[in-house]
Amino acid sequence: MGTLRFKLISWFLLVLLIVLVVFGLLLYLARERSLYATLDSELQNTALQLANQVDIEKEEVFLKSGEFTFPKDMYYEITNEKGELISKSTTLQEHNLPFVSPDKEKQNFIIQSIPSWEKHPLRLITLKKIVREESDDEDSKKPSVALNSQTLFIQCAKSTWLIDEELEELVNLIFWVGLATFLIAGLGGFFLAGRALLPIKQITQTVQDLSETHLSERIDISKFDKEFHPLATQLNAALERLEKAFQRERQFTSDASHELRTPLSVIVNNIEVLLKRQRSPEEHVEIHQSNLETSHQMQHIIEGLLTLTRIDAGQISLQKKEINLYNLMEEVFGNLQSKAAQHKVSLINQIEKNTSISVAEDKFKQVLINLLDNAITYNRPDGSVTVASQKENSGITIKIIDTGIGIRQEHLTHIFERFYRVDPSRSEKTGGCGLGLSIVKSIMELHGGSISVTSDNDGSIFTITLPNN
Amino acid sequence: MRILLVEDNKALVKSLRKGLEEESFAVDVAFDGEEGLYLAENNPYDIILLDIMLPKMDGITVLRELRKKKIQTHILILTARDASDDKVKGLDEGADDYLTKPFRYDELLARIRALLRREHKIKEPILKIADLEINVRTHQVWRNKIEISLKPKEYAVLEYLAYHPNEIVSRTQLWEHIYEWQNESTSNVIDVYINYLRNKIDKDHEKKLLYTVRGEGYVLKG
Repeated sequence: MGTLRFKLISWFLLVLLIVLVVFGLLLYLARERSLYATLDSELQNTALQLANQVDIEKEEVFLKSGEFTFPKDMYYEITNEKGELISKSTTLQEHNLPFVSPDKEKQNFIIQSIPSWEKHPLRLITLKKIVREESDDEDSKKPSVALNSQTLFIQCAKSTWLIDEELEELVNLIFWVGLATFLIAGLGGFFLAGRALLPIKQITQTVQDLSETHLSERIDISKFDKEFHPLATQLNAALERLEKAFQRERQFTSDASHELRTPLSVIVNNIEVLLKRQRSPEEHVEIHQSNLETSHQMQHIIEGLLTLTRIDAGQISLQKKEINLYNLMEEVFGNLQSKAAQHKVSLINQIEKNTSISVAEDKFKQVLINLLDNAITYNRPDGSVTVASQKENSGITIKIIDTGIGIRQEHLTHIFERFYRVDPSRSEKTGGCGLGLSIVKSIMELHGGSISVTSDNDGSIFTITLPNN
Repeated sequence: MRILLVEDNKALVKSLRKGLEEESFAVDVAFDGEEGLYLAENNPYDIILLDIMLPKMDGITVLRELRKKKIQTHILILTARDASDDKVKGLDEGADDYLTKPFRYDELLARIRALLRREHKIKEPILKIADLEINVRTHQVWRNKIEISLKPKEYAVLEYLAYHPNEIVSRTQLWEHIYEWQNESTSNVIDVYINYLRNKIDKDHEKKLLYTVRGEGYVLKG
């Protein structure tokens, strides 16, 4: 029940319920008020008319007989101050109305409800009237002199059962109409919420249908309402990234398998051909030699793959320490001296003698060896490889400058990619497996540094940067 | 039979060439796609072994170009990728078969023989012309149940003729199918092998199988 649909409907129904209750209450109160106002004005009118009928003569209070006929559905009772009954309606029969006196001096009348009088709810008005006996003087211009005055209480009442009945009906009506509204709206809300959530279902379905092999599928944004466009767009973008990642992964696996299968097929083929016939010792040696070389090649690729995989998996922790860059470079030069001599390339160390860097020595040495090895291999005869460094605020920059054949512009952006080869046929001569530069890049990134390259016909410059600690 | 091997890995080329030549195949090698395409266009190969990942021009493009130029040579793809996409693509572009590296050398040979049989619409693995029998797998030859020992080139000439029985095969045609591209011998050398063959298969038998058609070439008929 923790579904969004349920929550939506719950909130919707709660609000609806509050609205219905408030509406019903207001309707009830307004109706009640209007009914009572009508009743009250009726009572008041009747009481006033009744009051007009009251007269006094010789201390005797009486009702003038006149045109006024008292409504049959009302009661009245007139009492004096002492509570003596002066007159009452016939409708009262033997009963008396409950006496309520308007408390305050100024209050002429009071209207109130008596919830239960003789088993009836009653609306009662009590009007205070002072009657004065006037002189019989016919000259009305003379100020009348009060001879005798009496305070009378004129009470009029009417049963409110009709009103109560009507209000009760109203309550019933409000309840049933409210309930029906509630149910219809609830049902409608249920479907509407479902309808509103349908796109989410569809998007989910689309994403569910994706499998590793069908990552190229996308959510058709045009099918959805505007509100869902950001979601669909974001999902599509995420799918795009995922697809690319899978593609890279597949490419890498496929490249790796290709790089390993070819040398493996050399070894297998060599052995099968060898076993076909009787072979001379020389032939054996030759084939073993070939297999050994190929095995070394495979070992080289596997080590490279392993290094990359370990870096990718974050399994390599760098044991950084301060080392002297000049000395390290001399050491690397020493390792490559014979190869440089073979290619007639001179190595020039222009690094300041006191330059120190903080790196994982073995890894960083591998970076330098890889870069310098390339710089020698792809150099021209009688060329040179110059290594220089420069301290900057943010760290240190090391440049490896060769006088080689250069790298064509279209290859520059790809050369750090795994298994990328500027010329596939070159691998035979140089023994590279297409992983060297990507390993270099990974190691530099592991150090928080970076590598970049520029190249033209006069050679290439590889620039590596190392940040300060 | 003459094979074009298009493969950039030198060690694999060396190993395959050695093996195939020992099986009496004439082997030409191209180390990249462009060279492969050029050789295939200009020589009458019986089989082309084509790698997919090649420098300069990939194998699929070579394949497409060859088929576009109506070159019908049977092509067997050697691929280091086992992704079925490559196989499907290769076969759909007109390749006849494929092998995934690393492959068994014996399987490669068997597939080459199968392609040759398909080329010549033969089902039996043993070629028969009258009472002459040739086992193309073991390179054994019998005449009237008696095994005849042949030198590799003699065998190559006989095998080619046996794949084209009752057909006049010119000297040049024979020469083109048993020698590789840069061989310096001339087609006259074929006459020498024909003579050797005649001595070995026809000499002691009443019924002659190998005939010379003057001015045209040779024919093996039963």
